[in-house]
Amino acid sequence: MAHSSKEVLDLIRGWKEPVDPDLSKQHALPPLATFVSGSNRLNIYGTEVYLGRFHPQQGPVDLLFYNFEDHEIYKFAAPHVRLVLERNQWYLRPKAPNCWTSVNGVELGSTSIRTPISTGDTIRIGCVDFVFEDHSQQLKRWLEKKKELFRSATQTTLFLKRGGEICGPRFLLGDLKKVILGRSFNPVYEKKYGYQQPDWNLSSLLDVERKFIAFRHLAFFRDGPEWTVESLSTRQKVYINRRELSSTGLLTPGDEISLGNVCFHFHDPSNFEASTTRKTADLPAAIDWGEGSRTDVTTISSEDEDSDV
Amino acid sequence: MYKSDQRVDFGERTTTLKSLFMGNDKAGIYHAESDGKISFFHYGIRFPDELNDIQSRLTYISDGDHLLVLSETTLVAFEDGVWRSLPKDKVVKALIKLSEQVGQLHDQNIWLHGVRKKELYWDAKKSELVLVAYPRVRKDDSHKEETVWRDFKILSVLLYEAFQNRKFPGGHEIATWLQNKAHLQREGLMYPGVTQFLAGAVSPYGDLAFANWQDVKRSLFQISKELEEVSGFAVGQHSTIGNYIFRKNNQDSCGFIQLGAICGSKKYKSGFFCVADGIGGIKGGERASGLSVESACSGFARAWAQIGSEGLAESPTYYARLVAKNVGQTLAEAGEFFPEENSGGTTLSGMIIARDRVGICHVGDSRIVLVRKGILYSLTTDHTLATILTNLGEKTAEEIANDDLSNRTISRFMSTSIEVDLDRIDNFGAVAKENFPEIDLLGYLIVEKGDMFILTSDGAHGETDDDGTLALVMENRDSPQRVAEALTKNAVAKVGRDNSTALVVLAL
Repeated sequence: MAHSSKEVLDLIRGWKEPVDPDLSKQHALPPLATFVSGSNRLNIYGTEVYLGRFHPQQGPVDLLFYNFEDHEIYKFAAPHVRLVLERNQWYLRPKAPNCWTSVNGVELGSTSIRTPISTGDTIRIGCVDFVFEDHSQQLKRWLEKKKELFRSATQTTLFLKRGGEICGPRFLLGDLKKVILGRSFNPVYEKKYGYQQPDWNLSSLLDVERKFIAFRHLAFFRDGPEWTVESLSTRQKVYINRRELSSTGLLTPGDEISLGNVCFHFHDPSNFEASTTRKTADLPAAIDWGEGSRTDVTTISSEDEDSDV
Repeated sequence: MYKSDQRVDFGERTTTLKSLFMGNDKAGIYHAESDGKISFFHYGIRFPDELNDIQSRLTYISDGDHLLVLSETTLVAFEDGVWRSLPKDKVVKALIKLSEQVGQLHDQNIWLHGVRKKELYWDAKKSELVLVAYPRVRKDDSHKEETVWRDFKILSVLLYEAFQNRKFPGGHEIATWLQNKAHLQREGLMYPGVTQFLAGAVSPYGDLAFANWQDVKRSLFQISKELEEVSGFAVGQHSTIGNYIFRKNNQDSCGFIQLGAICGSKKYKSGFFCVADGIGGIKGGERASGLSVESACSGFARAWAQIGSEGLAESPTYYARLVAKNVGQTLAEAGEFFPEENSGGTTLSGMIIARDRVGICHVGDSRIVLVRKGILYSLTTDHTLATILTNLGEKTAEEIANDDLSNRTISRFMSTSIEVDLDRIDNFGAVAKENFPEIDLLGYLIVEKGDMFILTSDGAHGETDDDGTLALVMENRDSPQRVAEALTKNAVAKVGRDNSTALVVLAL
């Protein structure tokens, strides 16, 4: 092909979309586990992650199942399972009542029981079989690299997360007063209607990520040492620690801010410990994705989370 | 030196040498018969470096001193009958390839000192002439002007015989005819571009003579452009709100942009054709489908302006899907900046035709079908719940056919809130790939004259089956406009619960 798809899209658009090469870099951390389905390898980079489909009502998942056929996606719940690494052991727990999850052919019926899983286990999620690969032997290196990444930020910084953990790309909030996150849009809207292009242009995210980003999605405001955020988009949602943000919210170090299904970590190096500790990321509620019973919503309390083995 | 009909042993394999060409024993390739199959026998200890290209195309066995080259199964010895029966465009393409093959040797100062028909083989699979023997080959740093002429003389013979279906009368004879137009007319040798080529090929010296192989190729290329047909397409389209009392407006849209140009020897024929079926409320649906069609057609025009028909023809499906991708971004922008007016979504099924190639993009349950020689082929697969349930094996074909809700529930669409990702923009469906092997092989469908492409919204195809569509096409086959109207009117006459749209493209 004479032109890359990016070049062709620029020709078709009639304007050039700016590129941020950082956003397409490989994950800075080693994977801690992998879900393998044929040639599809889905890497997990966090120690507690939600996996499945994204549904705005349920908030983001850490690992989005994509590159699957429509009928396979149809059987994924949002989210479908939760995966936790504790004392070098991975545990899998179904999160969607009446949606098929099994380990080595044994169905996991209850959303309140978690099952240990190891390398080579076949995990069926919906109608797709995954083979699980445990890379938690890399945990030490993973912790060092993660710490190193956090240490590399000397001012208040927003880190992009992928697969459940910060992955490298970041935006320096520092002393700025106001920052807008979004992705670049047709300059006509700028020239004719006065809309300002975003400060952090996220259009170079992977296709499956960028679709969740509005053109002007979220504004950060600094007032003294405090940062607040304001959702700007009428069409795409914002979540703080997985809870939907209706208008504005005050940020605390270590908060997870999600634009659609794309997650970011708010890091304040002046409060390193709090800033690098992941906050509880509960779902608002578990939805029964089984057909005909979508109204059956069960509230989950945080105590319910992974306290039972 | 080996002799004709001499038997040579290659381990367990014995071969009998046939048609032994005399010549330079370091570079000659001769053909032989082994196990009843024609093979090539290379006389010499090893292939000279200059012949690596040929060597890489063939598999061979060796007795240490000699190589027996096992022929490619598709290669057959040159035959006049086969050559003269080929379509003219294939003849010219094969000669262009041959000129390149000879040219690669010329670039290394390797001169063939003439090529004979018996030194050529025909690759029927690739429609290529393969030069297999170089009996007079010579490396010559101080070659004379006529060496180019000598090596390409064979092309004038081959071109003449394929176009005139008779034996080449000789270079001097042709040179005489070329002086007199009346003579050329009598001989029926009036093909544009061919006379110019013959003039070059029979002239060893002078202004008309070919200076090098690129010159030869350029002249052949002109003939190939002359042979290209650019009749184009006839297009018809029709869309109706229908007569269902709960349908307040027409949320379907369709459109096309067709570009035809002759720029010197280059002929451009290309177009983009699409239907879009809006969803999500009265205003939102109409707006989304209309915006999609406008954005797709203008996006295609921008691509055409920069990449050109020839570029688009390299990979029409790739470009069609990127046109749709841009539509997704345009809809998302409109949805964000003007949410009141842009709240809906739409299907989009589009098609690029560039030269004789078709690529498609497809999201939703609108359809593209092809009617070729009285048979209807689906080029797209519906993105519906019905398709999902079928793939899951949860419902039988009969249950699905009667499951109106599943058929009307779409699983993919272009949204004004979330930009569609490229992976979700489909191309040809399974039926198309089964029936047209070039789709898997090349990524596009090759158009044939008389092909009729029919793009419909579900309001049109949902009111009939394939047989019904085919019957309407065959009744109106000469007029794409009448086919489009017949399909939409049929829907209105039936239950007609939806808007109904058809865009029909007939390849001329």
